[in-house]
Amino acid sequence: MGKNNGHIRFVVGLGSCGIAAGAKDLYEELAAKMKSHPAATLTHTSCNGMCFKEPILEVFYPDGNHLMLGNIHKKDVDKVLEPLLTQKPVDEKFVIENSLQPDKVESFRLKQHKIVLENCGVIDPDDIAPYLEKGGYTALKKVLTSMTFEQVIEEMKASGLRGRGGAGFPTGMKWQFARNTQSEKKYMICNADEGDPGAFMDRAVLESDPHRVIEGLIIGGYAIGAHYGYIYVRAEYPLAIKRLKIAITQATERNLLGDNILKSDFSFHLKIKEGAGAFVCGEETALIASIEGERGNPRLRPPFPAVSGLWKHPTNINNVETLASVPWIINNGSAAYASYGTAKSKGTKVFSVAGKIAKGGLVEVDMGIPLRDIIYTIGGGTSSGKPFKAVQLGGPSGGCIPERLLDTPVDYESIAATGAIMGSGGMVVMDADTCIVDVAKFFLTFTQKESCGKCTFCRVGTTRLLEILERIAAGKGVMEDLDKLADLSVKVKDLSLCGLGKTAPNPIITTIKYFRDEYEEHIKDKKCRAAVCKDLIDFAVVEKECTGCHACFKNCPVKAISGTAKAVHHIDQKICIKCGMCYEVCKFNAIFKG
Amino acid sequence: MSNKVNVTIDGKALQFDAGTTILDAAKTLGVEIPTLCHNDKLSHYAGCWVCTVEQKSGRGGMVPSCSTKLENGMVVELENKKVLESRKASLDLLLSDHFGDCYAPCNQKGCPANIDIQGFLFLESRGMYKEAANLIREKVPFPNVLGRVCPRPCEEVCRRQKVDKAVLIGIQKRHIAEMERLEGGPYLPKPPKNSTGKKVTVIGAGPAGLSAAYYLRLQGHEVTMYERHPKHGGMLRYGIPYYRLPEDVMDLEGDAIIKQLGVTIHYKTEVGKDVDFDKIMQNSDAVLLSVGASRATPMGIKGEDLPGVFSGIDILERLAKYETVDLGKRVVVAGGGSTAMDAARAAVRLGAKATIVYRRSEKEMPAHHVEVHDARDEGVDIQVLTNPTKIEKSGKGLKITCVKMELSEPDESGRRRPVVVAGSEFSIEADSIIMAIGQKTDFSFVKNKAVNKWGLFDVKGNSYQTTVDPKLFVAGDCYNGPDLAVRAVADARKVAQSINQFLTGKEVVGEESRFSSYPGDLGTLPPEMFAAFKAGTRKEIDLLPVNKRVGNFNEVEQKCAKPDMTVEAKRCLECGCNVADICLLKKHSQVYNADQALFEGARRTFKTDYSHEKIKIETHKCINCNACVRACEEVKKCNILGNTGRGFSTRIAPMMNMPLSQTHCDGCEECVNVCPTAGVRLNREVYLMKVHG
Repeated sequence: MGKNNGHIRFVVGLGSCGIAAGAKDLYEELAAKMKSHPAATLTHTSCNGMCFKEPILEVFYPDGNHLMLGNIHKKDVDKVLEPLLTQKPVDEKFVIENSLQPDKVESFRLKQHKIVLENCGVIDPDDIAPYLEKGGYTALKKVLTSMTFEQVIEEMKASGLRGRGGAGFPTGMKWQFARNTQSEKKYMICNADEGDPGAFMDRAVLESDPHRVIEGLIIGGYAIGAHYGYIYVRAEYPLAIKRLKIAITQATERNLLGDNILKSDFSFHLKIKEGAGAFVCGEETALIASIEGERGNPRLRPPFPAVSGLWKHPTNINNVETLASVPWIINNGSAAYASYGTAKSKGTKVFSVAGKIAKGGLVEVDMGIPLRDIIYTIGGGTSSGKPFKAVQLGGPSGGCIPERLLDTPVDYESIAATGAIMGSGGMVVMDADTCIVDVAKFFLTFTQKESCGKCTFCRVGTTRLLEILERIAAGKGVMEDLDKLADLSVKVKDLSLCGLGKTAPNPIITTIKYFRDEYEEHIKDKKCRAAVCKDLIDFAVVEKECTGCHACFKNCPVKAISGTAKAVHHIDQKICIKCGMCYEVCKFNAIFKG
Repeated sequence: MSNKVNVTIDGKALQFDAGTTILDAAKTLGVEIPTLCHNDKLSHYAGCWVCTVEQKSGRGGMVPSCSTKLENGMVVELENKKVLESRKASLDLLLSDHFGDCYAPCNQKGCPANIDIQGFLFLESRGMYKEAANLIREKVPFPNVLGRVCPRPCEEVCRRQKVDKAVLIGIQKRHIAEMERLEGGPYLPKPPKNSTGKKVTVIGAGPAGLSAAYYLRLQGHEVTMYERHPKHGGMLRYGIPYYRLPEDVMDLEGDAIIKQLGVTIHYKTEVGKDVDFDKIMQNSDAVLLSVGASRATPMGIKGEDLPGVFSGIDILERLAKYETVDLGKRVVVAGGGSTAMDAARAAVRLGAKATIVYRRSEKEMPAHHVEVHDARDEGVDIQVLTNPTKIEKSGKGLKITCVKMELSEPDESGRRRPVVVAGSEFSIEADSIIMAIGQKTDFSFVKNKAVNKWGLFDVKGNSYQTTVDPKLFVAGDCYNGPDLAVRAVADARKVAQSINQFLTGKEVVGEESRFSSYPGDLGTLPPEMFAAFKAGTRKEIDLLPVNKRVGNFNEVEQKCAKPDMTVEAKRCLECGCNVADICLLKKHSQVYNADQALFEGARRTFKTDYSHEKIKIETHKCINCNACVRACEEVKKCNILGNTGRGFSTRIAPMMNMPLSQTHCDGCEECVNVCPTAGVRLNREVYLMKVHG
């Protein structure tokens, strides 16, 4: 990828996020306009993690110079193409980085340390060649030619790698268990059923560097003695599926998959299984049931999949990020990996930072870095500039961490001590405009809907929890509801079969723990300080600010606003449905919300 | 490798075969753990979590005992506080999403005595009158009497009202008893051959006393009764005129209890006068006070003691004894209860023009609306919001002065307090005036036994056992104050339980409270619940024409025609669950005192699949334990049943959501056999054939 062959090389980031932001249009526009420039080539990569800058265009010059432009759209092509081709300055607003301006550094890239994401946004994911150039499949070759399965497992144990799906179980031990079970047939599964709202780490890795995951999976298969593998990926990730399929074909063509891989005795066959969208299928026993063609219901463990998994054969299931770490560990050695991170949490962790954050995107940091560094140094603080309130870690299974705990280092134990969980790496940032009851309600709405419906406390208990939250948000709560919430939350945690139910109350437990005063305000004062809970707020015209521009009048969907042009307007509270449209459209801060 | 595991269960070191579940281990220890989704025939599911126990070792925590296998070194507690709370919580949650009635609303919400109405109607509709009568007698020993006098609160909650009109229920008891009579009945159950030797004295042979005697005799105790009147029946005989309850009916059912069950009764024997109360106490193992409330409460107005002023209860008693009563042509009755209505209606029958004055509005009247309606039909002038203030002589007759009232805010009884309308005074001329404003109990005969400030006894909890003496019990109107006969009977059945507990040395707690799931009051029920029923007509009972009611005390309600009654019995919607007696959800909910109302919120709604001739699916009662799904798959290898939806909306359904009849289901019953509740059940006919042969 580094070679330019004398050409100016344009690279557009075509991950799902980039495409959604208009990268495909940009690519096509560039393709059309660059036809007449024999000195320039156009290729694509995937996601480099800077969601807030999409679409992103990188330009590599034969002289070794390089430019990274962001927030650049089809309409900007005419403006920038000529200067880019002639290596003349372009509008500074597009420039993220420029090798000619070494001082200009995007702070988002500071404090990051890329192992899993090292190729993301760098290589063309549809081509195996760049991956091979970057040292791809050398770890597999090393394992097959020079390591016994015991050595591989020992190396994984020594690296300290823990499952990145959320639970943090040591990967080496997991492989050991699966290896220890005697069976003619074993399965190695990659869990790519990423379902947490706000989480997109796995999608980005699969779309940007699919071979890396496949390589990790094959190495795992070798270690546990499995000859068959599945990648269980949710059907909502069509681009990831497409790129995985291409990658599997390419790997098979090069004998990196199939019988007698690289002429060794080891054979490994890999299939993709598309999940139908049930969140609970990310739970390993439900995932197995789903592959078997059953309804994706979890079952009680033990027996663990390592003993009895897919079609009752020993099965090992690892998350995408876990497997993507494997080739690096094999290539660089467990000691190198273990030198990053903390005593109990080694290596790096990828987070998807979303919500009310200035610079949202995908970040990879050493374990142990304080949350504050991720939110402020990398993320640039809140997008609104309003005070930071909390960050939800671990998605709907996780918890809300308040401002005062932002110096908590990100490692499994420290995060767990706050009541949140590391989870798969979803990080949703909230500012002062976020209502904490609404947040708990949001996550419970999700988990309640996504429960498989098998066990009582998850099916009915989460519904009852949600109903109590809804009552509180509607201003109909009583103080006893807080006790009821707390009591039932503990019961749902204790008395649910799988991780979904066992973690579903976490958002409630942590928000009550850190923001009890906000709950009490909703109950006692019938007040929502963030002005989010519709039943507790009113919209009114601030008379001295109103210019009579008529914008609110025109946009009100229920005709609750009266007033003639250039006169002060008025909202009829009896008709108002509190949709907030007037507040959104008013350019003069003349609508009061609260 | 050892095939035994060493574990600690409830502090005891024990050894079991490897692979034994905690549930099975508990069984061998004699500890019964409740289960719903578990079935020995099926694979483990761990869905209901009712079988929760606490694992104190290893990863620990609450675990489902049905599918958690014992491991070496495991420490388990089977029934600690947390475990019991968890099980209750599981039941609370399941019940909060269980849409069904264990017992029909007429039974659980309407009838104070909880008569199995659905059951007796079913038996009646098949001509099984003897069986039907004895099913009624399980709760009430006077089907014929109550079939005539009960104001039928059961019919007020009857769900048939959502289709057309309530089923005719009250009158059916009379019909059943009359049909049984034609077959030579009444056929009461026989008391045990051997007496317990315990002597119970029952004072007062009214509805409560007779009923208590009935249930006490069936428990084998010896019963002696004292009755101040020459006949049994109490208020049934002496407070209800013969046009509502003919005396031969009272004779028949009262005599049956006394003769068939062997009760000793002393008539015309008044305790405190003819026999000493203390002596009774000394000579009895237990004593029941069931003396009713037959002393009229004076109103305390001027002229109440004038000649020509009577108490309603006295007039009714004298009429019952065929004494001559001359009330003249103009009668004013003061009061709004049953006694007032009956006194006025009796006056009409004696040829008088009767006027009722009542100080509150008709809505507040204690009398049943049917009685008020009948009185009005018979020409009684009912003047509400009218309060007597004094009675004076006026010529040969009397003059009662009244004031008009209006209602203000509700008082502590919840009824709106009447206040005088200024300047509204007026008077009514009358030949006689009947005061029927209330009755109370005269407990003077108990002498040294304390009665509380209301002149009644205090009792312990729901036991009817007085706080003054453990062997003294109280039931009926002398406990409740004047109330429905059926309530006195219900009291009596419960007090008989308490007395039996007392006599057998058990803790005296009264009748065990009975768990019943309840989907809600009439107004809250979804229309789909009634969609399958066609509207029809209710067969009203013929009444004696109004012009034929004067000059006699002939019964107003006429004979029931058998075909009509059979049709009526079949109008029952059968709201009560067909399998309540074997429902595990109900059983555990009773034991764990689960609370269906603890969590308010969304609930599944009524949904059935009755398409299959044998297997009926009642999704609204399903608790998602998936036992049926597993049975179909694992036992029958059929896979007809499965799940649809997710989260709270997860439901059991036949494949592809087809009606069950369109699947290849052959009615093997494997699903029914494992269903812990009524999610999947047999067609009732098939079920009854199976249970009763």
